[in-house]
Amino acid sequence: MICAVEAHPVSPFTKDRVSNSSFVSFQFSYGTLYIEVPARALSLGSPRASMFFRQETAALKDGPMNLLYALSAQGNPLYQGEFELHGRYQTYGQHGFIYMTLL
Amino acid sequence: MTLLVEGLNGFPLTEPLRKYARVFEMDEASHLGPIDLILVDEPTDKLVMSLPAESPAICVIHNKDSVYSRKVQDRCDQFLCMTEAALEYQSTKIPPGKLIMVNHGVDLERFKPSNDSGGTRKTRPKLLFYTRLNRREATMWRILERLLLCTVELTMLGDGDAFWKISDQYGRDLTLINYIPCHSIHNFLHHFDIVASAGRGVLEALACGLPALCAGYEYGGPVLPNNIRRHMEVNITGYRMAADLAGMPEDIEMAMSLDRETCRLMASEHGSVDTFLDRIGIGEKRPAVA
Repeated sequence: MICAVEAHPVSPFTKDRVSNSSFVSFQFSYGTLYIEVPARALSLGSPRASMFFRQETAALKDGPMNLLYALSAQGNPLYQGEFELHGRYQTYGQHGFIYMTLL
Repeated sequence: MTLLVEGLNGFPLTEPLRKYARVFEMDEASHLGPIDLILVDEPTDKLVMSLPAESPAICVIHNKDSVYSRKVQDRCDQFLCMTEAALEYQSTKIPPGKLIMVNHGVDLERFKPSNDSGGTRKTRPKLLFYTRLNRREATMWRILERLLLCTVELTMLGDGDAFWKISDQYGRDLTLINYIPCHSIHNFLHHFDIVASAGRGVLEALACGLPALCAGYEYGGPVLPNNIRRHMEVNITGYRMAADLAGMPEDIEMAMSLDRETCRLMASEHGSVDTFLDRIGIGEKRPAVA
């Protein structure tokens, strides 16, 4: 793996997945970090994809990552509308998982 | 951390989570700002279309039989199975290269042994049986009726069609409760000496230092250091295990012979949320909770 940093004025962390390239760039307040990755890992469809995610998310940023948890709760789809309690749904395992993940 | 919900009104954790995360209704997705990674849960086409296009997405599979539309399959880079059974089933529906399997875990900070000494062994231990009361009803009834014959003080926690039937038939013989919110359950567990449940319920009990019986799709018997790996293969649901219900009193005895540290160790080795989050790549980068 090869890393290179160049000066860059942009402050927010942004990510640019480069198609057909063996480099991925990450912009930090202090510059842009270029990471060489195997081209096939960029497809995000290979067994290496999860490894790519791990490398990408766990090793490259100084601060906490911006994680988005996107959920459809309309009509409690996991249980086809069951388990409504006073206007809200109770899905113990799923909600326990979300609570655990976001804390 | 940001939470984006389609149907925010029906979601019960909006306010508890607002202390730790930004919370948006789906139609506010344009306000999200930069996102590094998305976890998608029970996604609809509308929800995935609203997500930031450049951010990688992992779809979380809670139900092994879940069906995902073409749009969802195209948008999500990976599909996270948390049981071998889900992996096996979803590999017939989703390109295998997109599937990953990571056993889930529980928060070992929130679920921990109580401060009391534990005292001497009780002749009639307090047993909590918690499960949904809609599916697998025949199994649930068999386990319940066998538990009622055991020398335990029984509390049953769960909701579903069988709730009133249990109340009608056995209301005098047990304590029946339909719901404890997931963010309160760690307080509730400390009122018991042993737990019978499945999946997350078993891991939460073990993390609290409580022994556990596996009672899910089938009765799986006690969860012990020498069989927990086998239980984990089917997410502690008892699937295809069918232990002998007649042996339940001995199973309770065997489970209760474990000390707190052994139970806790099983949870930390096989069901830690930190291990889970590390394996999906977000462990060390979650913001610290104040």
